[in-house]
Amino acid sequence: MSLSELPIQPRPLNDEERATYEWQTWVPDFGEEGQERLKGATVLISRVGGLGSVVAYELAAAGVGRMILAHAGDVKASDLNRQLLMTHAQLGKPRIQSAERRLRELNPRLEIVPVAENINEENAARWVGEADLVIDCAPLFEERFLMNREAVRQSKPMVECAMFELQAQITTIIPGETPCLACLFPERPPAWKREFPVFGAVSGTVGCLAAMEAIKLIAGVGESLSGELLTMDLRTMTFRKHRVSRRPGCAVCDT
Amino acid sequence: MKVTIQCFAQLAQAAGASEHTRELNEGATAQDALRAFADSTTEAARALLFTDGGELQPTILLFLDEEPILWAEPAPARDGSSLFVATPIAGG
Repeated sequence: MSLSELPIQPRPLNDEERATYEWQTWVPDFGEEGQERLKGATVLISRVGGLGSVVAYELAAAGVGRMILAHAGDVKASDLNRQLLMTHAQLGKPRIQSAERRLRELNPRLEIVPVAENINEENAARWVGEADLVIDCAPLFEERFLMNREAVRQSKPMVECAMFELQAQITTIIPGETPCLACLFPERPPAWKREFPVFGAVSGTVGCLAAMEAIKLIAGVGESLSGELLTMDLRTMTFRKHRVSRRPGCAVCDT
Repeated sequence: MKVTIQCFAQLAQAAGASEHTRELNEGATAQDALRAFADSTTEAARALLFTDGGELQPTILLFLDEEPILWAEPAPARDGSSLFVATPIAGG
């Protein structure tokens, strides 16, 4: 699947949208046609925490037409260093409600499908099936593997991003062409913990990169990170791109 | 010859730093470099890399001079080589 092959039905812009997105429609190879593809796209974001908040905010700003946001639980104080769609005023209230409110302030035209639960066995097929593109920002490998399995099964591209401390990584999975998540990590990492050290600026950095990957995939511009893992160490500002390979016999994508 | 082991994420934290250099004999492989590192690092870092049975954890990604390598296929290193070792991370 090349970048221009993502099957999205473009939706025409109105005058307000032309004015709102004027600066980015000046980008070569993007133009009004790219903007119409963004408007016609549906993106699923699994969790709108540290990573997903920034992904959703940037995509809302860019004019993606429809977003499915999946995130359970209520806003906690410890969310607020990085989960930029959560606010002090919303402490104790559902995260998905806070996220929806913030996104609507930024882009009232955005169609949001708020899902007040995390991706799980019961809902994964439905929400992945409704999306043109999925973005994996979940903290638990069980959820990530589930998203990966459904994305591969339904041939949906998936942007895969992660962080730890001052480091982060991102890759784009194109089913049938690139390694899937299970090629890279064939089983649940035994030492991974749900809570870990990180700055919001780290999740924000990789969240912006994930949003840019999504925009490129939807609009068919530039080169994606398909088949490459970009790692970054913000302690030293070292960025590396590593080629990654499919795993023969992968239980998800080589069956 | 000298090989630098570049640790990423949890491994860097467990090992106390992201960059470690090991002196190896000529003809050594990336696998030799990782074994040498594991033999002289912290217990926590060793546990992230290898199972109790001494096998590489299947979730470890290895890149020798930016190219992906498989643990089962010995990859010759050279003086100045860099072995990037990544442990899995997620969102949150």
